[in-house]
Amino acid sequence: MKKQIFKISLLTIASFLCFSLYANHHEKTYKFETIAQGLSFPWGIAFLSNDEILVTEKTGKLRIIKDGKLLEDSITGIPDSLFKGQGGLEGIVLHPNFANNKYLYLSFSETDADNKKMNSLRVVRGKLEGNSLTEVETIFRASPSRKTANHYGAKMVFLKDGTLLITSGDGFSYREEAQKLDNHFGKVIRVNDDGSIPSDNPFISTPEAKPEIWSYGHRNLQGIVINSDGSVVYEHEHGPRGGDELNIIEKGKNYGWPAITYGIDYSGALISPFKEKEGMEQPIKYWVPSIAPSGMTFYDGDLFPEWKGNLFISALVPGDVRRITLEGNQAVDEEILFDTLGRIRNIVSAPDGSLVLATDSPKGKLIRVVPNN
Amino acid sequence: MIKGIIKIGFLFLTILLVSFLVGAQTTVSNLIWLSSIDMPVTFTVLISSIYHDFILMTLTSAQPPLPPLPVLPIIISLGLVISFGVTWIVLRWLKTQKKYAYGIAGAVALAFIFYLMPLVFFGVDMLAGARTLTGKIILVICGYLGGHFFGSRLSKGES
Repeated sequence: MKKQIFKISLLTIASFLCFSLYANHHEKTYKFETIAQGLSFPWGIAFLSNDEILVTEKTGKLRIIKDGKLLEDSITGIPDSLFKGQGGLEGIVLHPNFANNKYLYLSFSETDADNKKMNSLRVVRGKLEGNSLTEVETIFRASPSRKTANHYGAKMVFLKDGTLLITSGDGFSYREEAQKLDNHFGKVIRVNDDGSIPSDNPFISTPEAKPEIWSYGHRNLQGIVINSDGSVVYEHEHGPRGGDELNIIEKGKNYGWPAITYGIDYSGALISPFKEKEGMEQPIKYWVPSIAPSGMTFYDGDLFPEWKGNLFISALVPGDVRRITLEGNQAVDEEILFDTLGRIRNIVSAPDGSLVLATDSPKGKLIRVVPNN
Repeated sequence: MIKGIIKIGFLFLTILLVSFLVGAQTTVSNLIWLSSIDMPVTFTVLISSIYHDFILMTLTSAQPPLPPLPVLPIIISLGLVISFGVTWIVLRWLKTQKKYAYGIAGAVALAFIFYLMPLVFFGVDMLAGARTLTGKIILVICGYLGGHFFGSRLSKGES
């Protein structure tokens, strides 16, 4: 009897030792450094250099963080945005040739000029000159307008051919429109850097179709990135109650929402009893229950060599980051990281190879993840 | 005492009936749209979907962002109890058939519920079937049918 108790005790101690060694190993891989705090719902992040960062605040300002300090003055010349529901000043991306032309792109929700009850997603570009955005011009406006202030998408990425992909959400109450081509609800949009339409867009010759459409059948797409050689476009979107998706986006394809889905409605009702259909793409990964994916980066830095080639997806619920290991076009593994920071609104890779996170709060933080050594 | 219990039983049945009808309206409107884009909606799919939605919308707690309660029947209960209460008072002075009076009360309750719902839930119609005017009209009819059922049960109980 005594021997048995001794054995069990020994086994328990050994298990604890192993567990704490494992936990310590993971803890020691990275550490957090707060870059800035007191940001009002930080959303989009862009790097002018490793130590000069632009951050959009959903409440309508474009802020600068320089050498670790959040500057008091925000960038002037930013168009007014509609801060309501899920809307506000959201996405930001620099032109691939920003060093020479100083163009940056902003996406935001905006009240219609002729009908204050309606609003839409708008994308502008402007030249960043000193502390001002000048020569602001609209390069895309989602059509038709909507009554709801939900599901804008509003993420952007430049492809290696210099065209810009913009995500345009389904507006929540307009989900069926995602299956039609005559509107911008639930679509990935592709335009040239000046807003003109590329001649090789898939539906440019389709009668009634919006020529900007690159892919369709999406819900609320809040992450879109390309891999290191620019050959693959990854996109994620919020599902309803379950059914968040990670997709590989290809020209002209239909991603199924809301005809096929792994989620159900918030009310408990089926949105569709179908999960697959010929002619509709399957996600490479989906989440049930939902994690509320809010941002994504393809990691190609050198600070964490073991993470090279992985996707990092920030999640609002319960608040963490998912590291997705890819093999070819498959998501083969998932690790939950950074789960002590609360709701995470976005994640980006910094030029120095660190990861930068934005927390979702009226007093949001920008946090850099660096190796612990 | 027994009459009172029977009336509460009728009210409970009415809430269940209206919840079922409201859920089924959303189910059917979803399936009609799916069918219109050539999804294989069969009779079996229809029945299993109505069953699924009744269980999840009426008998199961909601999940975030909604509160963890069977939200739909609770909202319907509140609307019907207030509306039927007012009707009960009005019927003390106004002589009319109960089934029609409670029918109108049910319809008014549902109209208010689906008018107020977007104001409470993030500016959107949380019930997919309530997004269109036609959908809202059908839901109001569901409210009328529930009230009519309740009123006619009361009349039978008294006669």
